[in-house]
Amino acid sequence: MIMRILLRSLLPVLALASGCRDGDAGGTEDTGADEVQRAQRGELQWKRNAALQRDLMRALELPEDGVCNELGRGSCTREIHHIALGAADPLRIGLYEPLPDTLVSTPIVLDRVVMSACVNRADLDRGGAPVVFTELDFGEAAPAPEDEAFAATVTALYRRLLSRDPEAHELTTLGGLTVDDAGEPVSAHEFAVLACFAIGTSSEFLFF
Amino acid sequence: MPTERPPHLTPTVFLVRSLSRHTRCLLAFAGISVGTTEAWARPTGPRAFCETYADAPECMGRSVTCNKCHLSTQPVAWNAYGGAVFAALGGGAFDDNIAAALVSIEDDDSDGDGLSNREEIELGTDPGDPLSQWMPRPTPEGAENPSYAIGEYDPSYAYKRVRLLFCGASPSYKEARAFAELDGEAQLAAIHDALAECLESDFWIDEALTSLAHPKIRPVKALGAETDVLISGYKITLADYQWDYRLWQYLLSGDRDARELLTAQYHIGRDDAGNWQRIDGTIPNPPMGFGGGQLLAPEHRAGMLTTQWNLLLNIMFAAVPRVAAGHAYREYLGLDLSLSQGIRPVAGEPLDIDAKGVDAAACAQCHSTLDPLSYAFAYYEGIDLKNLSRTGQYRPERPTERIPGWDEAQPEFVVLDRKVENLVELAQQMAQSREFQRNLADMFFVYAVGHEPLPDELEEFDAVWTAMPADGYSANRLLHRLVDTDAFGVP
Amino acid sequence: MTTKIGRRQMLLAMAGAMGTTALGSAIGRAMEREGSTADKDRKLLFVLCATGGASIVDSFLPVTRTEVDDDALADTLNVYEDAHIITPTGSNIRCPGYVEPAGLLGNLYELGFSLDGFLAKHHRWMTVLTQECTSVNHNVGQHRAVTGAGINRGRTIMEAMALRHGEDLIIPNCNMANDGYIQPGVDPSLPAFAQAEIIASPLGFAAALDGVKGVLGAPDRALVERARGVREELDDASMFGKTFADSPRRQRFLTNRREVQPRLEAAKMMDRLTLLPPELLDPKYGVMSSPLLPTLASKFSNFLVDPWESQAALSVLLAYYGLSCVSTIGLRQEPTFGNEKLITTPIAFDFSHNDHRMAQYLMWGHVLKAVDALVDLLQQLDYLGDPALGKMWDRSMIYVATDFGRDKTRPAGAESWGTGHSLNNGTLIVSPLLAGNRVFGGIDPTTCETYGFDGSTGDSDPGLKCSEGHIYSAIAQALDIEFPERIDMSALLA
Repeated sequence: MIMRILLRSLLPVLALASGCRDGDAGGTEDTGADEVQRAQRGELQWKRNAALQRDLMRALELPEDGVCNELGRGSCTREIHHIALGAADPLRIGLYEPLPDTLVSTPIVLDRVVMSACVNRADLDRGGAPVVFTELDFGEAAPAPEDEAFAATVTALYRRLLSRDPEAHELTTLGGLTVDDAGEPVSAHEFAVLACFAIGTSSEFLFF
Repeated sequence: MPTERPPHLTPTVFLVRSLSRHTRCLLAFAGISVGTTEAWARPTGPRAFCETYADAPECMGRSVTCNKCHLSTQPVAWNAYGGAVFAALGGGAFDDNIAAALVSIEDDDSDGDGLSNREEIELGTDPGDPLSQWMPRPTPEGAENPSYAIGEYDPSYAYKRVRLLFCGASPSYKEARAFAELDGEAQLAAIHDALAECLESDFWIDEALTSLAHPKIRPVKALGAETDVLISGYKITLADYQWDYRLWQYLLSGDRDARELLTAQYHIGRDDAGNWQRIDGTIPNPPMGFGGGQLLAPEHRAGMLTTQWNLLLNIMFAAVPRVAAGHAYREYLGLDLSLSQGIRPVAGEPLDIDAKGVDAAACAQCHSTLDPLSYAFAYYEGIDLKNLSRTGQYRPERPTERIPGWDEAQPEFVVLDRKVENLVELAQQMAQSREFQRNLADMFFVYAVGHEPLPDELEEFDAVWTAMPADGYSANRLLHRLVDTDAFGVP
Repeated sequence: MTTKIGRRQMLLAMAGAMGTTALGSAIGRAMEREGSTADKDRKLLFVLCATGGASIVDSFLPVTRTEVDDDALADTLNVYEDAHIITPTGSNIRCPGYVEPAGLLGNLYELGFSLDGFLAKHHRWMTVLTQECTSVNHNVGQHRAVTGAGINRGRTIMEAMALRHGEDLIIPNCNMANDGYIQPGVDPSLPAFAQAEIIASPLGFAAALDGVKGVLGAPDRALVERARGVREELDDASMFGKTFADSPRRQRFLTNRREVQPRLEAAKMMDRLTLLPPELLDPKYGVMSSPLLPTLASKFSNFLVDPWESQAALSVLLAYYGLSCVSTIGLRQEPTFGNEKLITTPIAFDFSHNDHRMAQYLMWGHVLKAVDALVDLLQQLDYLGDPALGKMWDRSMIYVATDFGRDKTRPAGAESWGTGHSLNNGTLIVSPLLAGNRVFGGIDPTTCETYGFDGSTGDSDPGLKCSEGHIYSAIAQALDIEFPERIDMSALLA
């Protein structure tokens, strides 16, 4: 009962009928009607600092020093917040093995790292030939959820960050980021950053 | 001496707990005043347990410790199972009667948790601790999961894990799509293709493998090649741990024989292009440093155990290098004597050859294993402040110089119940042992799966590490087996 | 991909029926409330880890040559000349005076803080307890120094403290130390909130308290909150979220994100805990230095380059702002430079292997300099900034933990020598909560080995040895931490 809907040839394959499990690559329609089987083991690993950095570099096509620099004083992932992001630190504190679990500060630090990377990408795309946010007009307001540019942007982010297509309900949910609390449209730049941040800080991005 | 088992309150404690509860401070010679010589922990216990239950998971994939029977060994206190064993011994000689005593209480449920002792031993839980339980995996309920293969090996899930853990990055959308379009067999092949590629990557070799080496090498920048401390223009470098990292990286990549971690008599350099370079013979210390080379004659080398850094850091000034021996035992066999793991008492030990008091009751049970290991290290120099060029060198006269009574005592060197002639032989015995294989596999298992093997994972874990001889002791091949396990690939 | 079915598999399946009971019992233990404390009654613990083996014989339990009463023997023991020992007015404790830099590496050091000055100023708060630990392995000794060798279910004293006094705090247990001192305890039932937050970079930690502040170009906070709301929806509704809803790692992460992060951000902790001075904060980031920074800097003058001081400074802020009730700091293996010379040794107290007396004096001075600053600050500051709650000091304890002692002997007549590790030692605690200006236990001048005491009466007894568990119990008793195995140490209480 996997539905996929082809919006346009250039846009994601979202949910047309298909008979096989889609793995990590394809989206599936979730009706919300049934509770699906949960993982039997559920013993997820989390992307440690190096993998997190690499995934953001790959997904957003950023150089190593373009992901996150903490207050201009050093790499967020390598120097300042590396412990909270799952690294060992044998030289400084004699932590010879990384911590098994996330810390209190891990989600906060993840927010900072991903936000920084997303801003940097959006800034680069606004200032030159766009790489990720190719469908946005940075001089304008965010596209409306029904616009092609919206779906294209969200799809690009899902493909880049989660290596899959978005579900229909995910597109709907992310539509909420095109406006502010008062219902006024946000800028295209803000939308780019916020959508990137919401997807890039999801538990699906961090855990595997 | 108690003859009855106390109620099943947790944790259950027998007998000599009263020492710690009712005396204000430890008696200087705790144990002697217990009132009976039977009230000692028995260091031969774990060995006897595994002789009786050789196939038990804990005797295969883990390490049985004194905790199997004891809450404390000094002062001695038993858990419920240990108390039952003690009672079953009935005052008889321990070594002669332990096997029969163990068998005689197999059908009992000493900790009252509903499973017999035998069943718990077969499961790998503690028969003396009612909180030591195994919760089986839940049966999947609900609608079929369209994205994950619940309860079975999920190739897409495993593929992503392989890419992240061994290549350091997720598969791209395009790669994930291409993988999803393969059929089942092709997906399994693709997982191994990806793994093979990843195991050659910079991430795996320079990032992940390096990180796994930290507990073994324990670098200290102040004493290493990158130190900021200078004396009269000389770097205070006493040794360069990068030699250790390179040897580790080299031997755990490229399908090489991992046993050489303990037997290599060469060192590894690396050129600017990143290519490995095997270096035979001695390597002088760099100019303007006190150390940093590898001065030890090759015939006295034992891989990671005899690098200049390892000898410096773990021997330092010790006449009897117990820290070096304990470190080797812990890091390369997975046996931490401070946790009562791997106790293999040698008759007549500890000799207390350097009059450190290690023959005291509190110390003897570990030192009866540790000291016979340590003696073999005594020929190697740690730090001699008047002769810094001696760091990491073999000096046959060192034990005699540093340990009065060495010549008269003529201590024997013993590892894993085998007598050896020197450290090189000792390391060879370690490298050939199942403990070495198991420890290496355990390190990779924890890295790949995220936890120590659980009871329902022990069987496949055992299958992985026991295949090492057939696989030529290749870490790469071990990892290929590991990613095939349910522990790795079942969501 | 194993397929074997056998007796083990049957047992594995069978275990389930019993597992429910066991799990219930485990959860029951984990949920146990051990008495969350209101602000009024909360105690504060500062664990200062003297990495490498701080010898009590070289600080507050020295032996003099005449006490040995045998010159030849004294030549082979770590004893001090009588004239070198100082007992300040009013003090029942004594210590060595200034130790002249000597030895092979003597000209490398810069001695900055005297033990006798510290003793003269703080003796009324100082309690010295003799002790014999159970391991001379650094890592093991360190861990046992904070777990009492497992006396309390394997919990560290910091975890026990967080459990007792920190349930309502956001990050009750912060650990900036190293090696065995940052290892968690081994009690699997310990609630997550009591586990330590490991901090490697005290100067950068404040940034880990806010997900947005100071990130250049980040959208307005209201918009970020909107994005976070969307993210939560996505996380719950995604197939990944549904499939791994029960994953303990993911649950832990989400609990912190959903429950703790908003509390931290709402409390605006980033500005309060930022230790960087204004001149190091580019205004473009919009981040402010802690309002307490000038106060801290007056006591920790070297905190920007000395991690020991920056850790200590952060520990004050964590307590003052009500984030934590226990902070642990540790000496680093790397040496710290002062004015061209070293103010700490490489590998901290363990440099005693090379040069015992110099390393001990230098490093004790370095440790005590931070203790001195901490006491001054805690005496100066009202808890939570509220005068009604009294000074922080009134509820504080500073525990100087160390790995183990050092050998008590020296080559005959040597003035500079190296020492190995020794089980025998003693511990310094500085607190108004203990009987101060006292030494519990004693030392045998003919061996320089310490002996123990009776914790219930305080009487010294050469036939007794006190263990890590006794130290743990003394701290616990003073901090209202109860556990079944706690040894009665009533005589030590203030």
